[in-house]
This record gives sequence, C-alpha cells and structure tokens, in this order.
Amino acid sequence: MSAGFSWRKVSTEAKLLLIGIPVALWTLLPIYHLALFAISPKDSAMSGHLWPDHPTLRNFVIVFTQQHHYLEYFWRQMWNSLVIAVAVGALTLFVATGAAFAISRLRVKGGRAVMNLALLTYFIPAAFLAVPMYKTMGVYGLLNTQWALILAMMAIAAPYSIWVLKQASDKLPYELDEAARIDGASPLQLFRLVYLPLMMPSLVAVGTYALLLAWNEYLYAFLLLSNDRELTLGVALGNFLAADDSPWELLMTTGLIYALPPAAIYYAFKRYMVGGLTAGAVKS
Amino acid sequence: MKSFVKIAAALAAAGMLTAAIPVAAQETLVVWWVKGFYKSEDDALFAAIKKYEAKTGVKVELSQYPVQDMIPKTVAALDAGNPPDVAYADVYDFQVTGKWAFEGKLEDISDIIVPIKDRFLKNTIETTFLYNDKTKKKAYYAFPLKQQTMHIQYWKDMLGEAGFKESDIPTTWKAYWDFWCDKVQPAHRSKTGKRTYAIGHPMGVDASDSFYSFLTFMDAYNVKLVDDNGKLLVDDPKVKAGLTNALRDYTSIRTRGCTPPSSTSWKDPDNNVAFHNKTILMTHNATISIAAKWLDDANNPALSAEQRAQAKKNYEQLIATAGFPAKPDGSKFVYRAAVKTGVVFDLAKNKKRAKEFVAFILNEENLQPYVEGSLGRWYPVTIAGTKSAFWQGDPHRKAVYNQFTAGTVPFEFVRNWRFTILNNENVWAKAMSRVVNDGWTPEKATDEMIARIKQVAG
Repeated sequence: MSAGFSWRKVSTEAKLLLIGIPVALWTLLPIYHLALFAISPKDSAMSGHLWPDHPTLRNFVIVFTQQHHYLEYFWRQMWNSLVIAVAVGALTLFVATGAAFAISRLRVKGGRAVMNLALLTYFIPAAFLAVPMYKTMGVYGLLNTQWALILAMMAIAAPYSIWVLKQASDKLPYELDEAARIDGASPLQLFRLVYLPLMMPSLVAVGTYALLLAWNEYLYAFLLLSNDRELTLGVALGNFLAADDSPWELLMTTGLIYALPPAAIYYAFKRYMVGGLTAGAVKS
Repeated sequence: MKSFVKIAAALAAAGMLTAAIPVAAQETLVVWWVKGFYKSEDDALFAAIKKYEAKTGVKVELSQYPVQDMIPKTVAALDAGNPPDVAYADVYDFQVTGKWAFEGKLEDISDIIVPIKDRFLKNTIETTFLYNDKTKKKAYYAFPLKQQTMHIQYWKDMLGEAGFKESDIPTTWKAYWDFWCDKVQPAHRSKTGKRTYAIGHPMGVDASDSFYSFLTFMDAYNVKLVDDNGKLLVDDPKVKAGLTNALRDYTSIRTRGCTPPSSTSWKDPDNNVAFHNKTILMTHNATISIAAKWLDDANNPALSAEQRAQAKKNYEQLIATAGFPAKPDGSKFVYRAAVKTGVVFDLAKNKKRAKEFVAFILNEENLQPYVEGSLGRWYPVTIAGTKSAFWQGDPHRKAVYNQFTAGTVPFEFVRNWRFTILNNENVWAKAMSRVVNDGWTPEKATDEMIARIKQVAG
C-alpha cells in the first residue's frame, strides 16, 4: 500500500462523487436537451431520442438569417438586449460607485440611512412593483422606450450594488484617503486616482451582476416594452409559445444562442465575481 | 472640475426631460393586437393598418404580443390607467371581454356596430352584445373578428394501417368512440407493433382544449347550463343527468386506456404534438390548426424540398378533418362557436379614432384577408366572408364550412360572464381528474362541479 493511499480519503472522495455526479447530471440535463433540440431537424425535434438520427446546424442558419416569422427581428432584438444590459451595467456602476464612495469614504451625513432605505425595497418582491413601475413610466412618457427598462432595472440592481461596494470599500484602509488629502487631493481626485483602482475587482463583479440581471430580465421587459423592434430577445422568445404548433427546435436554438453571451461574460469575469461580490462580507 | 460636474448634471437632466416630454406631432392611435400564428395573418393586418394610415393621416402605434401575454399586459395597462385605444386577442372572449363589459371598462361601440350588424352572422354579433353593470344596460361593448369551433382530425394512413377505411367510421355517438377505442387502437398496435393510442383526448387543467372538448361532449347530451338571460339551470335534474353522462363518456376514454396517460396533464399544444408525432390516430381540436400546420410547412422555404413535399402530402392526402358523430339521441350535432372579440377601452385616449379604426378593420376588404391569412384556422364572422371561394378550396376548409353552416351555439359566458371564471379555473377538467385520478364516480364528481358552478355563477 502506497504512503498516499488511505481508505478514509477514498471514502470521502466516493461520497463526494456520489453526490456530485447526480447533481452535475441534474444540472446539465436541461442544457443537454436545449442543445439536442437545437441540432435536431424539425420533424424529429420531439421524438424523444437521446441523439438525433440526422444532427443538423440548419436551425442555426434559420435563426441567424431570420427565416422564421417569429425571428424577423432576431438581430435587432439581440442588439436591444445587449444595449439595455450594457447600459444597466454601466449606469448601475456609476450610481452605486458614487453612492458607496460617498457613504463609505466621504461619510456623508445620512448616507447609511439612505443605503438601508434602498435595501428595504428588497422586502417587496420586484414582481409586486411591476405595475407601479409601469404606471410611473407611463406618467413620464417613457413606456415602450428602452429607457423605461434601463431605469427600472437600475432601480432594482442599485441597492444591492451599493451595499456590496460599500462593504468592499469599508475594507480599504482609511489612511490612504488621509495621505491623498494631505497631498492636496480633492474628493473627485481621491475617487478617480485612489478609490477606483483599488475597487476594480468589486466594480467588475457588480457591473457583471447588473448586466446579467438586465440580460435575463423578463417581467419588466415584457411590461415596459411593446413594439417588436424595441423588445429584448428574451421577451421575443415568448412569441414561440403563442402557437399550438410551436417550432420548438427554433425556440431552443434561439435560447441556446441567447444563453451564450452571459455564459461568456460570467466565465470571463469569474475570478472577480466571487471575490468581488463577497468582499467585505466578513469583517477582517 | 466643479463646472464640469455641473454641466454634466445639466446635460443629464436635459436629456431626461427631453425623453419625458412627448413630442407634439402626428395624431396617434395605440393598438395592441395578438401576434398572428402565420406571417400571412400579420401581413394582412399590416396592410389594413397602412391603408388606414394613408386614408386618415393617423399614425397607428401597433404592438403585438403572443396570445398568452395579451391579458397580463392589458390588465397591467388597465390597472395603471393607461390602456391602449384598441385591443384584440384570441383569448379575450374566453377570459375577459364579458368581465370588462360588466365592470364598465369598455366603450360602448354600438354606434359603429349597429349600422353594419346585418353584415355579420347572428351568433357572432350576439356575442358582443354585453351587459354593463354600471349603466345597467346591454350594448355592443366589443367587436367580432373571427370564430372557431371543434373539429376532429385523424390520420387516414394510420387508419389504413389498422385495416380500416374512412367509410368504416360509425356516425352514431357510442359506436363512434367504441370504434376508435376498441377496434382501431388494438388493430393498429397489433399490426404495427407500436404503442399508439386511438384518441388524443385533452384533459389538462391548464388547457383550453380540455374545457372546449368537454363542453362539446356536454352539448352532445343537450345540456344547457344557463338560459338566455344567464340564469343557471343546473338544478334541473335533466341538466345534472346530462352533465354526468358527458363526464362518464369523456373520462371513459382515459379509463379504457384509449388516450395517452399523459393527456391528463396536457396543455393546449400537446394533442397537436402527439398527433404530428403519430402517437395518436385522431384528436379533437378547437381549430384546424393541426392540418393548417402542414399547409404552412408545405410553403415554408426554410424547410427542405423533401420536408415540404411530405407536409403537402400530409395536408392534402393523409390528414382528414371531420365533424363529430350524431348526438346520443340521434340528432345532428350543433357545434359551439367561440367568437373572438376585440375592444375599445373606456379609458382610451383616442376613442373617436379607435372606433373609426375598428369600423375600418371590419370592412370586408380588410377583414377577409386577415381571417383567410390564418389558413383556415379561424372562420369568418361576416356573411360575405363565409361565401368566399377560400372555404371551398380544399377538403379541410369545406369540412369547417359545413360544420359552421349547420348552425352554432354560443358559450355560456356570453349569457353569464362569470363562466369565464369557471373556464379559467377549468372546473370541467377538475371533475375529470376526480374521476380519473381520485377514483370518484361521475355522479359524485358532477355534484362537486355543480356546487362550484353555483358558487361562482349563481
């Protein structure tokens, strides 16, 4: 028996595998079926086989060339999703970074109370706020404009983002600010030259969080946008469920394509996500 | 730096204000319309809108939503006090038109309907004559656009595989269902070795197909749940007996194993899917969407030539559209028609133009291409529309035409809007579940169903 071998270790590994393999299968199975639909010809999409007899990329061609009635605005709607998600990510970062800096570093009077009030909004499920939000956007004449969705998503993403950034910035040594001030830095210089570079991992994490939140949003996008040309792709996918003869293979193909950008973004910034979102969660 | 911040803030505020202030320009009309099943439907709608815009100079702001999203979206807009001027969805009649009229949320459009009502089939115009509890009077609170009824579709080739011809299909009630269940299914299974089912029998609580089909079985037993004034008739012993018989017949197809076990949880697309996959030989469906899907595929350039040819063959040769057999008492079947309705809201900002637009859309030259754009899925509401050569164009459409011309009856919710609630909660499918899943007798399940009907619509 080698020195590295121990039954206890093997038993622990086996237990982990026994749990991990079913969990992995359970998680991957829907994704597998999503991909399976996407590469199945129309007439065998619902056949229930584990692998299509004649796998094809034809569905991707149909989607990319907008050959189906429900895909008339595929590229436009994909662009809308992207613009809205990036705008929500950028604007949320702008608001949250400013707020966190003011509360945590400038120690603005009442800042903490404002942050707590913002966090209180999470006690009300976002779905309950949908109709009031719809009404508000109507009052401001923003309905059926992408601004309506961008502002609504910002309102939803901002409190959590402020909290995360505030917690992270609390960890930065206050002496850095004092040193910069002694050197004559104004608050804006302090923000730009000291605060932003040190907060970069958290900023990336929060920006990604807000971007993905907006990318995956359905309810608010469905309510606030109306015209086919203004819709996000996520909402437009609902069109496929309108018919009792839904082209499932095209729905799944479009869904698969729609799932790729957030997956890519997540993996690109994964190393910031965990560290950034948990920064300051535990007092060091 | 301070001045830069001030300028940036001022620019941002100006931008927001600019976005918030509506630009005074062309007169607009906000129209929400269900997304068509086929491109040809939407194209006909777009053409009509274009003509209307050219004629009036009014800009139509059209938004289209999938059918399942139309009601949530419209309800949110109504709750927010900001509904569209005109709205149409294929599900309004089933779920909300009667309720909205009762609650006074709809504009009385009698002034545009009355002058043209003679152009419409009687049953369709009746459906839009609704009671408003605020004004305590009935008026035309909706406009009819198209209608649907129940059809039977079956695969002729599968019937042939089982060793039967179309002429073997019985025309009397009991013999008809026994034929599919006891003769065709075992024969098809033994000759093909496939685990097929004779009938696709929707029973899911979430499916409108299940309540439409059940109510059709109820019609077979001449059950009238309400009188012409909407008063409940469920205390009549004949009504209870008819309901029990309908429930017994409907559930027996499942208990005899003639429909897939999963049909108890089917949603609306599932009988279509089972039919297209050839796991069932026949199904009943509230439009000819099953056949029409193959016609659409036959003309779909995204499909391969072989797929198009097969789709054409399916539509033209292999699938049949038929009506129901004679009722159990031997009389001819009279089908219930669901008339699809659109509305102008009481809170609409541009009621004058909304009514003008509705009147324009209801012109035959606009309505007919829209209805026919659905490839036979929807039937016209106007007398002229039914006389179009389109309805004699192929055996499927002819079958639809024949069913409608034999006369139709309306749904209960036309007389008593609270039946929309009963349909939404699908008391009919719940009663089926009691028999099939809980082992209740049809009599006991009917008692529970009647109690609920009285509670809601009494």
